Amino acid sequence: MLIRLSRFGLALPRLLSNPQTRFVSQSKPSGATVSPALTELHPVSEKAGHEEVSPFVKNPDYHGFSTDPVVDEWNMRVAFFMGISVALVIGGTFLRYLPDHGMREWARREAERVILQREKEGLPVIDENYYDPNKIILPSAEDK
Amino acid sequence: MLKILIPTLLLIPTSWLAKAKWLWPTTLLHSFIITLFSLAWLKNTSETNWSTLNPYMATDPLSSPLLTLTCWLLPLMILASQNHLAQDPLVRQRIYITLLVTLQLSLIMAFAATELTMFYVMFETTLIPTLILITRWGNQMERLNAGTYFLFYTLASSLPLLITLLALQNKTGTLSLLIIQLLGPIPISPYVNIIWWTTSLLAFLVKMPLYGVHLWLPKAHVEAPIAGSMILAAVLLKLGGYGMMRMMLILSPLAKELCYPFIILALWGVLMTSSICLRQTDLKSLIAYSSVSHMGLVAAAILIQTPWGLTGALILMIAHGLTSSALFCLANTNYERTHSRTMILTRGSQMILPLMATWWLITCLANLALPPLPNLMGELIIISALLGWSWWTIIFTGAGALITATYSLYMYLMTQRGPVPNHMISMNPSHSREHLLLTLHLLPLLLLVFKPTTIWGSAY
Amino acid sequence: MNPYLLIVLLTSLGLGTALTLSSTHWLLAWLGLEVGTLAILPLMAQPHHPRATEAATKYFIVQATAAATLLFAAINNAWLQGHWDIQHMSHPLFTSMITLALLLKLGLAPMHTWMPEVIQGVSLNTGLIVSTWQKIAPFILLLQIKQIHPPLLTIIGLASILIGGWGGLNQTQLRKILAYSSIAHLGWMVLILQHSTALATFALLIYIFMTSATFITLKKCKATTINMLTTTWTKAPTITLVAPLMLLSLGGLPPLSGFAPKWFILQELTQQNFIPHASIAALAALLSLYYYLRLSYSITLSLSPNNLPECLQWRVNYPISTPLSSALPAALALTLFLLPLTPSALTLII
Repeated sequence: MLIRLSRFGLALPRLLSNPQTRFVSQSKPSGATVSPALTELHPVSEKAGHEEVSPFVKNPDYHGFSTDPVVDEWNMRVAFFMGISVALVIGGTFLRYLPDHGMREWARREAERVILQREKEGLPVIDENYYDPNKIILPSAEDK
Repeated sequence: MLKILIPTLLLIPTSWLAKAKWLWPTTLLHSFIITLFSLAWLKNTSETNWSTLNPYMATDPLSSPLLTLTCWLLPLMILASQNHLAQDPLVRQRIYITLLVTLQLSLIMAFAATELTMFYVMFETTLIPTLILITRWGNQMERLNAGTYFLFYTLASSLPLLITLLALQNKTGTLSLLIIQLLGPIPISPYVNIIWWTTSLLAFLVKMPLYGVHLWLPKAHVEAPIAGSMILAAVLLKLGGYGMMRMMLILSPLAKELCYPFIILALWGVLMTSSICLRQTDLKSLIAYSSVSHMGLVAAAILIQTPWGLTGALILMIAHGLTSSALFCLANTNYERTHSRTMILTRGSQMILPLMATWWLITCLANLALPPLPNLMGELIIISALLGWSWWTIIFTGAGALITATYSLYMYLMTQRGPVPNHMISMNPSHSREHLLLTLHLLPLLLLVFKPTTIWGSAY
Repeated sequence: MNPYLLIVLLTSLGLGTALTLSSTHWLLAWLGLEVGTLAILPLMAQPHHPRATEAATKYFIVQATAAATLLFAAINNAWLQGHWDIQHMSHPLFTSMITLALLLKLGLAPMHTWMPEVIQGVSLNTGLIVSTWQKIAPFILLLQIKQIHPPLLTIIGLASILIGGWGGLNQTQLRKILAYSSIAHLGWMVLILQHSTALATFALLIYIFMTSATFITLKKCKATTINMLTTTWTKAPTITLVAPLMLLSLGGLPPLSGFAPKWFILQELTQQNFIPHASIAALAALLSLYYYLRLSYSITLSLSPNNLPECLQWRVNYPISTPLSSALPAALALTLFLLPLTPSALTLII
């Protein structure tokens, strides 16, 4: 106990000799219900009026949401359910099974199939004249 | 569009009428539902690319990923701010949520606007909630300075844009994005052209920010509370990139040479800011500078105006949005426990928070563009697009990628490894909330690997 | 002050402006201006404080000078052209003289120096009247003069925007800041005056809304220096919430009403091919934005429990309610939310 309090340094003798009420927390110590490891790390200090109070002292299952254990747990459930189960899973499924707009994926698959076929037949992958030059109607020179 | 806007608007009454106990769960639930429905924007079945049209707003493959990112960020901001607001009075918590919702609303309207003037108005509207977020809810005294920098950098560069837009409106008679891409070249004299080009892009280059006009960003990031840093890194910077892509449509045939100084500055900025990262002592400042360096790549990619450049820029914007926001969340978990952003004071966290160290590792890897994450996809496409434009750029982009990896390693080593200082021994363990927060940043990033077409934009 | 006396003074204020607004004759217009000036002097000097007396004297001298110049020019004009008609003034010299006299009355740069001194010397209520109601009559006269030398108004407009921004940067006294803000706003109106009188009137209206909201807010907080604003959150929490928005609206940030006049004025200027003027005006407005931002910093953005930039003031705790404060909600609503309604607001005027 005294060792832990030693970080008060020079103030220690004064605090021990004449404990003023405004420095003492009025709440009852609840250290008995807390697991020993946590109490070692986060001492339920009666003297530490302005120290940071660890939320784990009151609620060992603290999830980081609220100091009230019930709200804390429900908030955790809401966050996990909505974040993971709803937004990511349902949303992800929705996005994965979106229709193939503009047949882009189909075109890609088709192109790969054509390439494999042409390679098997020994043809060049793409012809120099992709469009038949006879079918392209160009404007005649004097139109310029 | 109203299917999202009205529920978002109704988040404000939710945050004021919810019972004190259930304030945070209710708003979280509400905003997650909005997020879920916002994913519907990513479904694009129209031949003209524009869908969910109404007279003022529409989405297209360029804006919809950014819109969804905006909607995704709101629940995450609510999750992230829960802890540091717990000590505040209830009314202030409600005001804070209202502020975040207002920011969200203006961002949605900015990204969805089809009229450039409305885009401009909404672009400016985002300034007010962000300013209040930084200067009211920041921690140090320097936040007022940061707010001034933020406001005046942005306004000084965007007021010329307003005048340019108004002049353009007089020239063409319309500023609708649906029509403006069909206009031919606009006849202006060459000198006016140069001014016009510069003023149109400067606002967005400052917002991005381009190296040289980036000084507001590290300040704003360092001083803002966690939600401010998240939204700033994830969405507000992207507003600049988005605006540039939109303006490029009209500017593109005009001045090829005018890009050169800006591209050089952007690429030089990649090198410079990532080198600055190497000697940062302040964790949040490091992450902010890393944002500047990534945004430099995006700016360069947009400025060369090739389809690959635009695609790469959009991918990198989305990926960087999630990654840098995650990094700020991690920095905040450290900050909430040690109350310090100085890296040398918070060494060796791996010993104390081993699971957090895993998140740090994954996020750092995402930041340095590890395959197969979209960050790599974006950077590779940008680097190859730049290489196709001029092979000299490989010196900058290559060295930039190298230094990015180095400072990510530096950040990881400084925060996670090394001796544990005595003042850190009695830290709180990490909460489920923080793990969830990071999961929700990183899982979407991973899932995007499986369907990257959602963030490829309209140019591919 | 004796309520009967107060009623007489306030009705004369109304009468003066009404006379000026309804006259087509220079003599009657001058009479209206003089009635307005004389009616406000007792209100100004009423606190029996050397500073108030000084302000009233300064105001009287300046307004008398302006009115004398106006009368002189009008008489000369009548002598040369044979009529007293306001709308048909055409002699260039006397038109310019009358314009300058009216601009002096309005307090535009470079004839602005009386304005901060006077506003600083009077109470917030009187300051509200001086910076809103007293602007209406000279401004409407200015609207009616058709043939003003164009560069005169442009130069004075731009100079006022710049000086209004510049002068306020260094001030700690709220009433002086508001006086400079008024100079800057009037600069915008004068800049657009020759292109579109409707827009100038619109800008004046919005300016009156915003300035009234600001003065009433300050009255409610009993604040006269920037430091005194820091305790607003203990006196009026709701006002603390909206005050920065109100100030940013004065600064002209979208989406608040203050942006509407600036937007349309810039639009009109670009349409008339005055792009450099529009750019200078827009960028000079940033100067004024800086002090509005500083005010918002001290009123809201550095609230307790954060550490405050200034020392807290001692204060006496008693409920503050003035007859004006019932007008505050309406004024605030007009200050903040008018931008989406601008098309309808414009049709009312044009």
